[in-house]
This record gives sequence, C-alpha cells and structure tokens, in this order.
Amino acid sequence: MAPRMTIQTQLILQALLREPGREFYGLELSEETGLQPGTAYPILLRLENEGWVSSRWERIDPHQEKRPARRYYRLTVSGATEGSGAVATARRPKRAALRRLAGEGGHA
Amino acid sequence: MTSDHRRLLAALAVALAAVSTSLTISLPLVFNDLRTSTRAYQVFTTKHSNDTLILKTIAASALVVIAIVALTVAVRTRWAQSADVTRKRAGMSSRRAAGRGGGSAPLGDPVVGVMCLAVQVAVWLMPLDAGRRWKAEVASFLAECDPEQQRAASWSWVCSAPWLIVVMWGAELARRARGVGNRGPVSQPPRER
Repeated sequence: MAPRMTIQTQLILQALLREPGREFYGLELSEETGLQPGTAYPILLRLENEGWVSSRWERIDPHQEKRPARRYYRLTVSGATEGSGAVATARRPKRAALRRLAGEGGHA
Repeated sequence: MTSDHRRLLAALAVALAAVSTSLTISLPLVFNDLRTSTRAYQVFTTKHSNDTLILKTIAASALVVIAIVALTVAVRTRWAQSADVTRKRAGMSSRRAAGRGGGSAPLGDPVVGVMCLAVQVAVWLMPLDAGRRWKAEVASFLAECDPEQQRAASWSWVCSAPWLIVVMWGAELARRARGVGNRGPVSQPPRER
C-alpha cells in the first residue's frame, strides 16, 4: 500500500526525486524541504517501511571527521518509479483546483 | 565545586522538596481522617492556623521551584559531561561542537538540555533498536544544525516522540506477530552512541 501523500510526504519525495541516486542525510533533507526534523523523520520511516527509501549509517571515524555519523537516505528503484507516480497524481487535483479557482476568478 | 558535588546537592534539594511537599499535603489529610476521635487533630488545628498553612504552602512551593532549578542544573551538568565524552571520542575540543553549529554545544542551552532529557525518556519508552536509532538520529542532527535552530529542532523531535512511540511499538508488535526476529545490523546505530 502506498503511503499517504500528505504535502510533507510530497516535499520529501520531491527532494529525493530531484537527484534519485544521491544519498541525503536528515539535516540536508530538513533544509531542502523546510520541514522540522520531527516531521521529516516519521515520513522517512514510513517510506522506508514501504520499501521506497533505503537507509544506512555512515561509516566514519568520528575522531577524524569531528562529528557523529549521519544516517543517509536514498530512493530505491521502486521508490523512484512509484514515488514519482504518486507525486504526479497527488499534484493533479491541486492543479485542477487551482485552474478551477482561476476560472471562477476570471468569470467573476 | 565539582560537577559531582553539584549533582549531589541537586539530588538532595529534590529529595528535600519531595519530602516537604508530601508532608505538607499528607499531614492535614491524615489528621482530617482522625479529626473526630483523636486529640491529635485538635492539637494540630490549634497549632496550625490558616495563616501557618498558607506560609507552609508558600514554603513548599518555593522548595518545589528550588527543586526544579536544581534538577535543571543536574540535567545540564550530566548532559555537559556526556557531551564532553562524545566530543572527546570524536576528537573535538571541549568547548567547540561539530559542524556548522561550531560556536556552542547543543547542550549549552538549558532548554535544549531539558528537551534532551525528554528525548531520553522517549527512548526508554520505544522498542530498543528503534529507540537507539532514533536517539542517534537526534544526536547527529543536533550536533550539526546551527545553534539558533537547536531549540526548535529539539522541540520538534520531542513533539514527534509520542506518535513515534506508538508507531514503533505497532511495527514491533506486528513484526513479532509475524515471527520475524530483530532487525539486521543495518538498522543499528553506531556503537559509540
């Protein structure tokens, strides 16, 4: 079952879909989408449970890097195809609604 | 005064506040139960007029405030100690945090310190693996975000915790019902956390 396409979910998916092969970490995604981490994290968990996103811990020596390890998220192949489809269908009603609103405004 | 002394004093203040508050609340109730048959209640009521009770209530409230302040100090001290350990492990200097938020440690802000205590409580309430992973995510995020973002970010993490606890336990119970064991090592946060 596809995850619920809330606006926040769409924002996360759009950020990931911009560069499907790239890995993003939490802070990066938060900055890209403008979402608070507490909002983004449950969405990422949900997408991961659906198999749309895979994640891994960064393998670094915190000594050398002088920071804790990050958790990286990237779209899976199915996530890229299904996610782009889901975002596209989720957008359609909004655009139609906007057109309708614009039409009503023009007639009035 | 070392941090251990401060923590001990904080613990004593909390204990004192707890005892005095409970006595203030429980004594009148106890004597109220005995009021018809014992002379003790008469002694108590004559000795403790309304004015005295008000004073005692004010004193107890002051003690509670002191306890809260002491608790905050203790939390900050503990957090600073653990942050120092983390920084030492990560090879950072003691007063400088990692990444772009280099000017101040995430725990320098007392509000962030209290939030981190709430995060710790939430981690205890989550399934073990999921809690460890979530805590590591929070620590990683707070270590790298700007100091001015830390308060809002930590508040956001804390606010999402109750729902996450429900979701994580739901997933855990479903996994156990399916007979699937613990997740693999991929989901495990790094050991140093």
